[in-house]
Amino acid sequence: MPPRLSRRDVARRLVTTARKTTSGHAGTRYAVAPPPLSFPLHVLSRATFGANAAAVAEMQQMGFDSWLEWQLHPEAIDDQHLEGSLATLIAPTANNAADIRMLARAVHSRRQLAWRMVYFLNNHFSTFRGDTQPISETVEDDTFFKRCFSDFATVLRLSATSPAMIDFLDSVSNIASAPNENYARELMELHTLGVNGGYTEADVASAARVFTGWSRVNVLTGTVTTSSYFQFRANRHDAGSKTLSLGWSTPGITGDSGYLEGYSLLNFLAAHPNTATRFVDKLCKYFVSDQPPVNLVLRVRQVFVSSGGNLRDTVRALFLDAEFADAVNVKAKVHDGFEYVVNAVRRFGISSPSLSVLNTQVGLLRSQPHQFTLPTGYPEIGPPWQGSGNVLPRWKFADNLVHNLIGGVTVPWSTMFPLPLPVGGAAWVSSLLARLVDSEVPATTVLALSIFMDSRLSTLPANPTLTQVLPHLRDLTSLVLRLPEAHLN
Amino acid sequence: MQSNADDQKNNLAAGPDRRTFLQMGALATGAMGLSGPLAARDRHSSGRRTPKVTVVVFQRGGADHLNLYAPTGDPNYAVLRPTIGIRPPGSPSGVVGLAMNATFSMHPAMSQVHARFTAPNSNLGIVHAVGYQPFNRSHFESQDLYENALAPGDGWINRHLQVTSTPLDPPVRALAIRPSLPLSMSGTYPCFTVATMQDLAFIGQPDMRVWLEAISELTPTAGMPAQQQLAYQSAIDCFDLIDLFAGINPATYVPSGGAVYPAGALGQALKEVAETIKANLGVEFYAVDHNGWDHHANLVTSINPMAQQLSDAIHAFFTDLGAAGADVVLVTMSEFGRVCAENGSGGTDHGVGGAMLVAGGAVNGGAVRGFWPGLSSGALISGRYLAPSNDFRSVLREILEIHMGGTDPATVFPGHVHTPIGIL
Repeated sequence: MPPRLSRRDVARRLVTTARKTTSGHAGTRYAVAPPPLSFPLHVLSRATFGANAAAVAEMQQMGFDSWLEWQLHPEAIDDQHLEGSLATLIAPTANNAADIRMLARAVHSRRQLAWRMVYFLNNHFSTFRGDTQPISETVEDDTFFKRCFSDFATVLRLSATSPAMIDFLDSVSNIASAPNENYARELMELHTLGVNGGYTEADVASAARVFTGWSRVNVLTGTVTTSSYFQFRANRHDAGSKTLSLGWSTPGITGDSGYLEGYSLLNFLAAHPNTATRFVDKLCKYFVSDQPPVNLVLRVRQVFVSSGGNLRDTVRALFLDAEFADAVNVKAKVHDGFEYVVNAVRRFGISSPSLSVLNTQVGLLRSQPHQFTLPTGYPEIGPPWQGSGNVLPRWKFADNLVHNLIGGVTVPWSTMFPLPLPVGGAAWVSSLLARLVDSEVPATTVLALSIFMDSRLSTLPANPTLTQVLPHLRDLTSLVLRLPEAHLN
Repeated sequence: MQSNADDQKNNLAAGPDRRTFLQMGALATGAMGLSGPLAARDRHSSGRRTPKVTVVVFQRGGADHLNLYAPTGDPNYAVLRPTIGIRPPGSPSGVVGLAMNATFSMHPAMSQVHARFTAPNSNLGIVHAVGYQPFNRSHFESQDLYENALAPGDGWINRHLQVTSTPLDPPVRALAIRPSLPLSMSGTYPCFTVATMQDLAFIGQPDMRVWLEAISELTPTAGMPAQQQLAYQSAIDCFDLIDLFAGINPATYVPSGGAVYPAGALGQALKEVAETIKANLGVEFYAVDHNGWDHHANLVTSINPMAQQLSDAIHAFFTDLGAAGADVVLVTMSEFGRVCAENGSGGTDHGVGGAMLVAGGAVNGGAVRGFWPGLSSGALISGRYLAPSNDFRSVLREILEIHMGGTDPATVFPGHVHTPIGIL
């Protein structure tokens, strides 16, 4: 048991220690605040799911420009070790298969930026797995991955024809005699133009007619590698003429080619200026800041438009923008629950965590990638992920993790701390902060944690072993993961 | 400078006091300028106000109120909903409604709520054809409009708390049982969230709490980026809630009166609300969500368990509260009603006019209140939507003015022209 300190004891010790450490022989070892975050770590915090040792080393070895270009071409990155293991990881027909596969990629993939992008696209085109066939979500994620740096129009069509979206927004039962507006409305409100993007209620009704007859084959009879499950049922299609006030119309296409009306409308919406504005703004909120710099957004939007909506060019422009590295954007974002969990796993260097167990933990943080019930998707911005309602479950996760209470997820303490061990509380604290939290932490916090650890260490014999330190190291680590700064990204 | 109340509160944990922490910070950084006065909130006074409570249940997704409280007496209804519609009481087949009055029948899965509706001296009523103008059929936009009561920026509950604030305010006046703060409670007045009351315990050794609380509460946050400041406030809120609700323990709580809460998030949340209400800690507003009402397809199968869960949870809640329910009003709302006519998927698309259930306290129950515009083609908006004849803000205003003891309508519901509904 740690010593029970009285309030007066703590106060006395604080002042004494602070005086001693700032006035001479003990130097300023408690007084050193961590340096501002380096540019590579800033990039890694946004372009990966956590700057683990491997990612840091890759970035150092290649340099930023080359690393970014390497990540923007995921097909050229060897990820066979992970991809080859997925088939045996979980049956694609399991309810939570897509969540677990997303976790596997986030934790282990070397194609971090691509999966960051898929994570974004999956949420932009949000589908709730409770309303789809489980395998559909897996199919959709894998399809998004293959095209995540293609054109927005391509990705939009993949979403529209994906079995998950066909089920979730009811295209599957959208018929000429009584159209279902669900997909048409969210297509314009959420996927492309935005709620004030200029469409009318009559446009929603007309667009719903365009997508009558859109359906899917039974996904369960296909294999995961089949490229498309889209099916068009001409006998359900309203082939009459349609006109949208936005400036798109069709005379109507009869027969088996009726789905081309939908393709045409999707292309029109993808190229609409309001789509560029909305999509780029959302992308910048995701990768840069809740309040991305106005001029950065304008420049990225310009690239999006001039490249015909090319996502590789757009994401490259975002990371290369001069304002991306501005101090105001550093650690300006907040982890969602999924990111908080994955970041911790990567930063600890937990090599083979049980992904189904981790997925359950992400579920306790209300953040599983395919579990948002409404088509709006999870918020990109920080405040909905803050507050006691979010933080208390994260504290519990953090404490359980470091105390080895989450079965199948084990922190590799002895790997993290090779001999010789840090000596003194301050050394333990700075080592942990460097490992786990790359935000700037106030000097008072560093000092407070150091005193906490020193008080724990004072109960141990001199030159303690890791085994002797471990109970106290776990508690210190639990505190570090609960710091306000540990929630920032 | 610490108040006595603060001292008392901090006695439970031997930690550095504010002055010591700042002195330490100044010594550590060499920056004496850090030790300015802290603007930490002092929310630990012990004042009590009238123990009236309002519980808001938000039916997320756009509930189809025309199937929950179905106008089966309107001849247009069966025409608009030939396959998914509720059948009038006494019908030989189909989903047969429970009689409410000559015009309306309740969904049969809501038998518990129906029993309360038809009970003598009922204090459970329905306000139908509610909404606002100009209407909006986007989920997130319309949820926001209900929660900010058409006044952008902050929420209607928050504005009410602002205008009724006194120096004797209890530490927590509004609590949402969900991970993030709903817009209705967002604003300058401190409101709080907890995903479940079971989260309210500090996990770890006492000295861990001492130091984490000191770091959270005593670090000067002025000048920090917005998200970092919010992260500090979140941590402080955690400690405050853990302390205030130390006596709440859902794991061992036994509901009164033989109440049986249904499985699922809504039942769990209302059970936790009932336990907290009974602890009489001064919380006036609770917000809980009931997710999953967006039934574009297969409505008949999908809405049944939702309706049953809602009904059983409300029944269990008031059974559990017993006499304490006299001080509690529960109100439901949803972002919109649905299109009156069914679509080809056996469901309904986003519509306009919806309904609110109001129960508890001195509610004038047993009736469907508000102006009923009917379902004739001339009465429907664009020939498709139930007219929002009754402004939802009038319902909320009655709750605040009559049940909660008064408000400042001009601030809480700016621009709203009040038409009394008579639900209270």
